[in-house]
This record gives sequence, structure tokens and C-alpha cells, in this order.
Amino acid sequence: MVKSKFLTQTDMKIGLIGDEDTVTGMLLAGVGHVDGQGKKNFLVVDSKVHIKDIEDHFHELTGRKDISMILITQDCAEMIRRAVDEYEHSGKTIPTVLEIPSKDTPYDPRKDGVMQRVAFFLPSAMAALGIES
Amino acid sequence: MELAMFNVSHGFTESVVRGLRSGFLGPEDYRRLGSCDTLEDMRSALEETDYGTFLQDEPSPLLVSTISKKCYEKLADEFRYLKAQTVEPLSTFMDFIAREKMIDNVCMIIQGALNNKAPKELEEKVHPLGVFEGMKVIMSESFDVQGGFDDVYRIFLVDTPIGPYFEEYLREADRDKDDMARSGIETSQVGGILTKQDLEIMKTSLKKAWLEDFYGFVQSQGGTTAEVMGHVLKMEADFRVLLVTMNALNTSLSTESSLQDRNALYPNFGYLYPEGTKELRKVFNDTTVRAALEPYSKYLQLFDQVKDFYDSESGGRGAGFQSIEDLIYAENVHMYEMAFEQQYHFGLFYAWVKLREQEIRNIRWIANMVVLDKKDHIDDTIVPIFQPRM
Amino acid sequence: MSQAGGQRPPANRMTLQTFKARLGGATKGFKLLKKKRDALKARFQALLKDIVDTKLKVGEGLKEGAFALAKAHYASSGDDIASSIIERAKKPSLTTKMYPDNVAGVSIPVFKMLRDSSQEAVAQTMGVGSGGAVLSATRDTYLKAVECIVQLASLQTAFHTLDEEIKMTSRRVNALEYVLIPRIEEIMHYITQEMDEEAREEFFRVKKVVEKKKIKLAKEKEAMMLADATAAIDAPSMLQSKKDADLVF
Repeated sequence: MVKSKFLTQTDMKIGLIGDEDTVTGMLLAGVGHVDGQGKKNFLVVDSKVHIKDIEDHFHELTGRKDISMILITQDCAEMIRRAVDEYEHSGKTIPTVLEIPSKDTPYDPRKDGVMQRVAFFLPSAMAALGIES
Repeated sequence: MELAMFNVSHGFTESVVRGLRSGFLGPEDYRRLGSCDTLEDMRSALEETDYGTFLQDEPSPLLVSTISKKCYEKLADEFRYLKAQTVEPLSTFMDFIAREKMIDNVCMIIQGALNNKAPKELEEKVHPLGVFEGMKVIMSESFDVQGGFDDVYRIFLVDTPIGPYFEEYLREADRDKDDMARSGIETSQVGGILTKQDLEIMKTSLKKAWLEDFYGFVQSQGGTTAEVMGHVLKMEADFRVLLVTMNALNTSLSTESSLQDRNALYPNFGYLYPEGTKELRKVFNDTTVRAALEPYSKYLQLFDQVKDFYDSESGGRGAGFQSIEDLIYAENVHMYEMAFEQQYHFGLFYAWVKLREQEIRNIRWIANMVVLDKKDHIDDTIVPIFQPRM
Repeated sequence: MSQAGGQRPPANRMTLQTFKARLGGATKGFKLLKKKRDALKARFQALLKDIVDTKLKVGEGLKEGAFALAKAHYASSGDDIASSIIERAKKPSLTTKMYPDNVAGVSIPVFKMLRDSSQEAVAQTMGVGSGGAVLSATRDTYLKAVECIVQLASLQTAFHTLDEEIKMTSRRVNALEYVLIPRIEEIMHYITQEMDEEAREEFFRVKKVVEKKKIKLAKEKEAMMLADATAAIDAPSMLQSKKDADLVF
């Protein structure tokens, strides 16, 4: 594991990948950032966006130093599951990837890598989230 | 005169609209929509109404935004069909109706241009009702953003029906900013003004200009049109004043320095004008709003119903509260329905478009609630159109 | 025995001493690490519960947000508020601050939400025409949701870091417990054994030497005595001497 020393860092942005409504809401709250080159910290995913684009954007976000966390709606995460998992196993913790439920599809904790781990240690976790297994 | 001559020119279109009236969703349809569990269910439920198979070609999964977009497209189709049947002065009247949406589109395009958005993306967002000729030019690939303001200026100011509003607004804005530019606006300045201006305020003032212009137009028509539409537009102007006032509460627009900005958004006619508007120009919090509305019992009643929502102290600004918009929608629907009660006037067309918009809002709301699984909220928000009266 | 097979250290008192010191160190380290692991595990368990709770809260918050947004859509009379919001994004009014927290010697990043309301003024004029207040109510709802999310992010990074750290510490603890300490003990055992054996050998050898010496002494003594005796009797007798060979000419 890479032994990372976390230093205090301010002004870190929140990356965002999701459907239009989720992104709208988050931007309304004020997480949006567009820099001078028009580079955005968010991506609206609709039917016209290619999986490749999502993946590229995801990699770009994970590579940025000023991003503390990446929110990704679960259906988007599903689309680029491989990339997400890869990142998770890379041992990098910053930025951290958070899977959030999207509006259109109900949240399924079983697909969330983090929740899988949590459930591994806390068997009652899944039940608490409304999944019987 | 009117009775005799109206049907010669406009009889057919009027009858078409009256026919379309029966296409509004009835209580039965709403119930069926409300009992859907997924958007797919909604698709099939809508198929049994006048909307027909408009969603047939949409790929699954269906999105809420797709549904409402398709609804608007259908409305625009019908609108265009109607417009093609019209003769003057009804065509101009129809133009006026579409201009409101043109303003939306133009603002959206400017916004997009400021952010270097690809024209392709912009094209998908335009409101189908507000499509006009010059827009295609801006959308074309040659549209260069850097020097684009001049293009935007030329197209919007010269080539479109909403040009005059723009000109008026820009002159106004320019006068505010510096007194030197009294002589009119140089093209090169436009870009600067556009970037400086808050687009949202610009949009609202454009709409105000549109409303005033529209009012002038219907008054010039005289007869029943002036009577019915005059009433409708006056009410709308009042509602606009109310909305702007209420929505500006608790924002920077209600501070001393920017009251002027806000007041510029009040239309210069309506039942509230001039005394009521004058009073409202001074308000800055909910108590003063109430005092200003005191003489107008109807508006006061509306305000009292929703004042919890706008009360800065209560902190209970939850989604469950009704906002002023909800009440105004209900008022509007009632008003537009009444417009159908009279014959030989143009108000009918306006009312029809507005009612359809409300219906689309209803559908969108239902779709959202279906997705969010909060179906118990459907009935307390939507405003059904042409409900059977008891 | 097999691991230590090839390279056994020279079995002497000095190496034994070094190994004794090493064993002491290893046991101490083992105890410390075990304590650390237990501390981390305790924190970890508490974390799990928190994560599940916060995750639920985030889901709840986002759902409320979506509801509020639907309402805003409804109130904004058909304007495309989504795209104007998205287009408006320039500078974030919400940023996060990261600072390290310390759990049993492990530094864990913690996020904090910072809100810069000066950047929000731009958004305030949104929907002045219609739906503005509903929109700001929606913003508040989403703000709450984001706050939850930031909290969840902290928990999740803590979870990851602790998970990793626990794994590592457990590995170390196990390595100490099951490999290093047994090996040292074994070596020490070997050394003592070897030394015992050496001692026994030495003893035996000394005994043997003494014995040999004794025998030698006895022999020498005997030989001496014999020599004395033979010196007397061993004079060659003429009688017994061999006949000279006949001379044949």
C-alpha cells in the first residue's frame, strides 16, 4: 500500500458524474466548477454520452489533485464498473469515489464495492439498507 | 361586426382549437397515470389519450425529461398546424404567443455561447415552440464564439421578432451603466453588455417587454379580444409582479441597492398598476409585501396562503409547502378555462397553449412522482384542466 | 525446523544472547501492534455502522432533493432550468477542506464542507420570473444532501484507509506471532540444545581423555616396571642364542 501522508488542503472540489437531474441539483447547491479552459468538474450523462467519454472523464477526475471526492450515480458507475473497481483496488484514497443513488433507478447496495466490503464486516448492513439476502 | 366577420377568417381555426379542447386529459386519465408504477406504464397510459403514440420511438429506459420534451414537441406541432391555418391578424397573435418561448431560447443560446457550448448541444435544448428562422443560422457550425456576439446581436436584434425587446433592454442596461452611450448601441458594445448582465434578469425584463407589447397589441384589436385578452394579460402582469416580488425575497435582489433592478422587472400595466406596483416597489420583506397588498384582497389571500414558504425566519422552507407558483397556476387555469366560455376572440388560442403547458407540467410532475415513488403528492400539486364541474 | 535448516547460526553463548534480545523486541512489538490493531478494529466497527447510517441519510437526502427539484421544474413554468443551472456553473461556492485525523497512529483524511456564500449571489437571481423561491428551497435541500455526502466521503476514506491499515497491521501481527517469534524461539532452542550437546561432548571428551591419560599413565607405569624387570632378566643368554650358521666353504 502506498503510505500517503495527508496534508491539510483547502479549496478542493467535488467531482460529479451523473444524470441531468442529479447534476442539476448538485450544481444548484454550488459544487460546479469550470476553469479557464472550460474544463468541468462534472459530467451530465444522457443517452448520447459514450461509455468511453464517461470513462475518460472519470480518469481525468481521479487524476486531478484538487478533487477530494467523486460522486457518481450508480447507473453511471455500473457503466464503467471496471474502471471504478480498478481505481478502488489501486489503493489510492484521494479522491474518494462515492456511489450515490440516481433518481431514476433505485439504489442497490449490492453493486457498490464499498458496501460489499462493509457488508463483509457487518452482515446486518445490507438488511439495514433494505436488502434481504 | 365581430359576430358577422369573425368566422370568415378565423372560424376554422377556432373550431379546431375547440376540438382540441376535448383532448385535455380527464380525471379518468389522471387517475390512470397516477396509478402507474413505472414510466413504461405511463407510456402506455398516455397512448390511450390524445397524446397517442408520441413516445413510441423513444428507446427505453424512458426519462422524465424525454417525456416532457416530447409533449412540448407535440404541442409545437399542433401549434404550427394551427398557425398555418391562420390569417392576419391572428397570425401575429400566434406569433406573440410563440415569442415568449423565443425569449427563452435566445437567452439559452446566449448562455451557451458564453460557455463555448457546441451548437449541436444547444440545438437539443431549444424549446420547440420558440424556434425561429435566424436560430438555425446561429446553430450552424460556422458560428464562431469569439466574434460571436456580433452575430448574436445581428441575428437577434435585426432578424427576429423579439429584436425590439432586446434593443429596448440593451439600451436600458446601457443607460444604467454609463450615461455616455445615450446615442444608441454600437454593435461592438453588445458583447460587453451581454457578459455583464445577469442573464436571468435579462430574460425577465425581456419577458416584461414582451408582455407589455402583447398587451398593446391586443388592445389595438379591440372588441372581445381586447376584453378577454386584456383581462388575461392584466392578471398575468399582476402575477408577474407578485412572482418577482416574492421570489426576490430573501435574495440579494431585495437589498436596498438592487431594488431598482428588481423594480425594472415590473410590467407597466395590470390591475395593480400604478398604485399597487408603486407600493410594491418599496417592499423588501414579507411584512411590507403584505402591507402593500392590503388593498387587493384577492392577492392578499394568495399571499397569506403561501407566506410560510417565504418567511425567512421560520426556516421551514421544505418541499412540502405550497409556493406562490402553485396557487398562481391554479388561478391561471381557471382564468384560461373561462376564456373558452366566450366566442369570437383570440384569447382562446392563448388560453389553449397555456393550458397545454400546464398539462405538460402536470404530466411531468406525475412522471417525477412515479419515479420517486411519492405518488401521494400527485393530487395536491397538479391542476387538472377542464375538470367536470359539480 | 526446516526453515531454519540451512543457515543455522553458530551456536554459542553470544549468539544466544543476541537472539534473546531479538525475542524480547519481537514480543514487545507484537504486543504493541496487537493493541494498535484492536484499536483500529474498534474504530472500524464503529465506522461500519456510521457508514450504513450515513449512506441511508444520503439516499434520503438525494431523494428529497429530487423531489424538490421536480417541484422547481414544475414551478419554473417550463423553462429549462437544468441547462441554465449547468451553464451557470463557474466557481464553486461549495468546496471541501481536507485535513488529517489520527487514529492509533494512522493518519486518516477528513473532509469538511466549506461554503462560500459570496459565490452564491449569482445563483440567487435564478428564476426571478417564476420559481425562484422554490429553487432556493431546492438548493437548501441539496445543500443538506451534499453535507451528508461529504460526511460519507470522510467515513468512506476512513473506511478504506483503516481497512488497508488493519490488513497491514494484521499481517504484521500474524507475521510476528506465527513466523518471527517461533523462529527465534526455535533458534534459541537449537542453540541451547547445541550448546548442551557440546557441553556433554566436552565432558565426555574430557572423561575420555582422562581415561586415556589414565590408561597411558598405567601403561607407562607398567612399562617402566617391566623395563626395570627386563633390564635384569633380559640379558641375552648364550644358550638361547641362535646357532651361527654353519660356515660352508
